Amino acid sequence: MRIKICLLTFYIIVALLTSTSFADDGTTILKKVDRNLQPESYEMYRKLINLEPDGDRKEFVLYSIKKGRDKMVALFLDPPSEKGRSSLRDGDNMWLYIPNVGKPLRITSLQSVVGGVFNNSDILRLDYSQEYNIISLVNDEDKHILELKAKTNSVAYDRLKMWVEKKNLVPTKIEAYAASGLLIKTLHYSKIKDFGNGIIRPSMLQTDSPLYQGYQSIMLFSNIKKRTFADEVFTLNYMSRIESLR
Amino acid sequence: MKVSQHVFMLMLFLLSGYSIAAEEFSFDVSSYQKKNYRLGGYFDYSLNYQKLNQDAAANVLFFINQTPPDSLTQHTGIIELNGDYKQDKWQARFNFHAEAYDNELVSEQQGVLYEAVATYQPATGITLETGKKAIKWGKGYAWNPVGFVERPKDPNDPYISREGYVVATADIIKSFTGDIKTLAFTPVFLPVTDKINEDFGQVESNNIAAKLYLLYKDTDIDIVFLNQGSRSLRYGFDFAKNINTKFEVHGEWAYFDKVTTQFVSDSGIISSETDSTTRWLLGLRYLTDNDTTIIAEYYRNNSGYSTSEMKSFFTAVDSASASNNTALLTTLATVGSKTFLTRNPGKEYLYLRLSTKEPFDWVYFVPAMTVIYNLGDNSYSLLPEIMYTGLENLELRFKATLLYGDNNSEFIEKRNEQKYEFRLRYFF
Repeated sequence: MRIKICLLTFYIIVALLTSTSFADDGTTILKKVDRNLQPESYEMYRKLINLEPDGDRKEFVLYSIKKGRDKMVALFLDPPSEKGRSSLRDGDNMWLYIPNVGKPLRITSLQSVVGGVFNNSDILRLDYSQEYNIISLVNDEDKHILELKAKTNSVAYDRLKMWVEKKNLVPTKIEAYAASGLLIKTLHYSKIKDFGNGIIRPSMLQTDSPLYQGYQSIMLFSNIKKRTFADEVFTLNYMSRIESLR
Repeated sequence: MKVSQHVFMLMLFLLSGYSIAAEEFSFDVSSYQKKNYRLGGYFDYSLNYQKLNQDAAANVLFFINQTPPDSLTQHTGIIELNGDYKQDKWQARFNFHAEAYDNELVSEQQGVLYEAVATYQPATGITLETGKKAIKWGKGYAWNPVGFVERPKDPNDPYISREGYVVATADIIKSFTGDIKTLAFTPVFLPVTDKINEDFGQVESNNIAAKLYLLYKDTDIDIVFLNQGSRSLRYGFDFAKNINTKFEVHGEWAYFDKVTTQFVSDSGIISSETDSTTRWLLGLRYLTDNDTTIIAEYYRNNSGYSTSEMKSFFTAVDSASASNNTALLTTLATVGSKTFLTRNPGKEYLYLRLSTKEPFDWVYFVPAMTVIYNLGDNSYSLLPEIMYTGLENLELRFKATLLYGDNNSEFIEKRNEQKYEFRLRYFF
């Protein structure tokens, strides 16, 4: 009996140590992935391309800035119908400013201000480690495979499965799942590029979704630069003035 | 063809295919470099057919001693031009609106400078502005009880731009860590003379308004105020919050001191009462699993007209018309244009809008349905619409306005019984 109790205690200790260890390793990897994808505070330009089933495409150009763990703004530069619109994220809060409307409106993360497969949380994405906990880590030959669980129910996707390239510690593929287990979309990062100042990361993100059969959305990244901003820039009252930061 | 030629053609094909693929997803950011000026806007053409309700109070009072036409066909052209120029901490911007329309009865055109503002930004969190500016307060989509210093919104088309007032204003923003993440204070000075802002209210008054904004525990809260000047004292608050990734709630509440309301008896006797009142709304926005956005709002205007008060006015119009009392009809037309015949003069309304992005794989089509319902007299307007955005810089919209209700109810006494509009908007 005493031996059984000793074995059980030993097993529990080992299990706890190993689970803590993979979580630590996974968290470290995820934090490195976040920093490799983008500096904590930066500015960048992005082109979003929505490819429709009939072959048509719609393009948007955005100027985006981010500060710290949970503040981000995207300003639409093109097409003319969207020019001057901006969307702001501060933690779980999101707003859309439309010049004609003249005041910010609250939006939710699963809506999409651009249509296509990207939703608002994809466009105003925070660090993965800010929104997700590690639940498993598998070491493949040249990839880490991370399973992530949303920290709260206000995060757009309940679970993520992320394939991380070991060499550059950047993701190559991410599957996003709803709480029901339904696959919502798959993100594919590709075309690793040197953006300067030590930022080496994928310059293209493609996504497709079983919920949007035949549709595809693409995000191209350019001019990613470290830059710091005052906190006041990431407020409702500043949304109409984002252009002045360029 | 020799094998080498086949190989050459194959290589050419592959290379050309590669270059198309490479070009397909290229991004030349240099064409988006910042300039210190910007010019843009849209041109809008619309053709609408209006089926008039000839017996409606609005038509009886518009066509006094005349027979209203059965229908009208109208062409409307709008140009909205906006731009700005920046130099260091200074910025000047404008929004010019020109409109021309033509129908069987009238042909008119006008140009209005909606906004012309000079801005000085001495620090990131401080902005000073002066000029003509459209200030918009409140969280409601269809109505804004706390919109104290703005021209009224059209719930049928709440996103269209509106003319501003001449103001001097400031915006002071401060960010924090903690429960209150943002605090922003916006004071507004709005003078009224016989030449400036004369339609705001009583002339020769200096009006001071202010808004204090807080982002408190992930909730937007505005506290707003307007002093007694050209209009009576009023104050209130609004809020908005995301409940989860699909669900948003918002609301507004406003107190108005000394609001004068005019009444008309069945026999056409006009009286008025002055009293304090409150107006408020509660609303939500919800995204369903099939990508349908639902916006719902309940609006309560405690100084609005009850069903019986509305009915008395319409009865007075009917009686005056039956007896050919031109003098009374003229008086009722003047009173009605500021009261019973304005947008949504009743006490209680429900606004419901459903819009679905590209249903049934209809690429670039967004159908929507809006209902504005008077809960007092059960009359309502139904606005089905469909928008197409598949052509570059073009937006096409077809929208119908269908009005329903009993006789002597709000929506059935409006000018149009039905309206069908096709609109083409080109952005530049």
